[in-house]
Amino acid sequence: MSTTPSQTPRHGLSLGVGRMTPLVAGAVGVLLLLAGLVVTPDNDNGLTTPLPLLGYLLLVLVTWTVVAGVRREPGSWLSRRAVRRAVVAGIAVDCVGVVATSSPGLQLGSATLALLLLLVLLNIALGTATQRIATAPEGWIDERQEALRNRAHRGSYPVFAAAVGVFLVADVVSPPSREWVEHVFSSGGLFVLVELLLVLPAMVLAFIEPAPPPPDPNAPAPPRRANAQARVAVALVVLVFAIPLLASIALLVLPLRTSPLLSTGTTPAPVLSGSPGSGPAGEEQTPASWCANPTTTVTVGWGVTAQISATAYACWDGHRAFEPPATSYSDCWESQAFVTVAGTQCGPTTAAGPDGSLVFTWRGTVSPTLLPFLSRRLTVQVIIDRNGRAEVIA
Amino acid sequence: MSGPAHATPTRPAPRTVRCALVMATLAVTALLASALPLHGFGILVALALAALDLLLLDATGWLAFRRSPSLDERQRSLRDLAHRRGFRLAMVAIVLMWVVWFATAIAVTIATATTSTYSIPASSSVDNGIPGRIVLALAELLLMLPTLVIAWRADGGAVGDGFEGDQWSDPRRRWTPWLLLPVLAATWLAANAWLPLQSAPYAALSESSGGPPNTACREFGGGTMVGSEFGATVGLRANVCWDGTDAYVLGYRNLPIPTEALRNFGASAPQNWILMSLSACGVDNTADFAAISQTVCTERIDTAGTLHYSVTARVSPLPFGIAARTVSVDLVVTRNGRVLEQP
Repeated sequence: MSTTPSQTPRHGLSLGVGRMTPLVAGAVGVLLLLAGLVVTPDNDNGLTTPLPLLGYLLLVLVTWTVVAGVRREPGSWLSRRAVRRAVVAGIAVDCVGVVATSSPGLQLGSATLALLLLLVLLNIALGTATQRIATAPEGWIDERQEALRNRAHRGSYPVFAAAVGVFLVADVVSPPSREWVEHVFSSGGLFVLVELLLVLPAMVLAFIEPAPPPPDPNAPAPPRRANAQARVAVALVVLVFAIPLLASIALLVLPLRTSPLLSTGTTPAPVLSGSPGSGPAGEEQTPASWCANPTTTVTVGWGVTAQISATAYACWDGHRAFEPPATSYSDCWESQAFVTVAGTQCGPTTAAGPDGSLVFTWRGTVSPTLLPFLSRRLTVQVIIDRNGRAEVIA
Repeated sequence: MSGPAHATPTRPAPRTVRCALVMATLAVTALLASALPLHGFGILVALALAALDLLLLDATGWLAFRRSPSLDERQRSLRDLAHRRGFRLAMVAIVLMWVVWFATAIAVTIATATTSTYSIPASSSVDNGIPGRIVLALAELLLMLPTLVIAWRADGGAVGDGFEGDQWSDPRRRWTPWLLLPVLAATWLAANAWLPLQSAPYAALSESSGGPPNTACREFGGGTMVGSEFGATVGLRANVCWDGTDAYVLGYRNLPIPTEALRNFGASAPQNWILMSLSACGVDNTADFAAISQTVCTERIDTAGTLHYSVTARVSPLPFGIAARTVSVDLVVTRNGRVLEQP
């Protein structure tokens, strides 16, 4: 028995265009709402980083669902055997690249991130090329496809066993090979293992599936709704890949967001011999100078973000503002998501203004991990005037 | 190859027997994947698992490993379906292995906390890589899941029908796979008796907790493996302090602290440090596939103040000291903290 994919009826649950479009619209609306919430100025509710990331993951899931609902037409470009095999080869090379470029730990380099994004793209292409037969529920595919995917799983089993077997043998052979295994699995090897577990049968299926019959010129054109869903799917895929790039560029151009200056309170300045505010010895003193430590949180970027919590330790006496002695700082620009911080100094430089004010300046250079050849120098200033009023300039 | 005239049809094993074999196989695999101590008897567990595998393979007519030309359409279909189910189950099985390991590691930790001086035997400070027992459990899953699926199915036992006349159903050849068991045992024994010793690095589980004033301390660790992952590891863990006069091990009650160092402690009693078990003797040994006995930790401080710390143990794969090896792990640190030798 041999049926072409387009003739194959699918049973069970299916999300048609009619039901999918409002779902997509709703999901995109939620995303925009989240985005609006996050980019609100002076927002420092602690959700700056996770919300865009969660929103993005939601978008990826929605995209996956929509793409899964799109039917491949027989004779389409992706269904050609050579193209399918090229996609399989691309995934294999990409997996090797992920292992080769990643370093141990959770922090992924720009090359690894780019390769992982490419892997997602290739997986989508593979799923479309094979009509996701490898993971389709029972009853969605015909007898020929069922036999084909079972055969693909049988083919992928020894491949997977051999891939894992290499690591198991390396773990036993010698201390250097054991170290190599640990290196691989503490870096990108885990991604590749999951990739193989999820996608290997589809890769084998794409490799062994015979070439589809040429399209019937007398066949009716695909329904309009199917075309609409395909267009939505393409748009979502483009969006999924464009967002990280746009967010990376936004890191370089968006204005800095600052939270209002907060201070734990004003306290009398420590009185040290010879320091401003110290009076004659032995007298009961009214403090002539006061100190405070106004703090602001400065965030750059959206989704791809870096942040600094800048605290200015300062005292003032009505004539001038000054820095209390022996003050130490640990305010650094820190990557919140997909940002490399370079050349940062943890703490400000201070300079006295002509009007008796004190200017604290924090500097740093940030670079999006996805576009490591671009960078932006950041400068945040907190100015304390001689009467203790603080102002932040970013 | 014998002809059809000499062949005896394979009698299908009852499903209850096959299911019992599957359950037993899973239980033994879970034991290997757990953190429960094997006390050197790991090879017996591995051999038991291999025997169960052979019984299962025999009961299913080795269907999962047969080539297509020797099968009819139904058998091919069942074999391929079993591979698909097996592949999908592999993912679940790997996750379950982690769960079993963590659950038993916690259980072992709690159980030994009440009976032993040391509370974390499930996690050694010596980095052994992927333990041999986990390697075996993973290999078992990778090789046998399709066979387990076939054996579990109601139609899995009748796969012997139609094999008559080929090498698999020849009764004279059915015992051949059982040669695997002595081969496995011999390989394991040879690895433990003759394979070169391998060094295992420090896993850096804890930081040094320091010592008396004007003293620098650092925790050292590491070990030596016998039989690679399928033997035993003799581990060393020592919190070494040095003060310019002497280097010494701090934190193990059986090793004396130099008089000068004791004086430096002043009011803070050194017993406090000792009770923290910064240094330990024998707790970082791993004895899954070979027994470890006679673990002795010795400290010698020479006239130059250099510490010579040594852990010596006897690794025995078999009872009565047969093929046993004496393993020593050494650490040498000068009075100024320079490391001259470490595992």
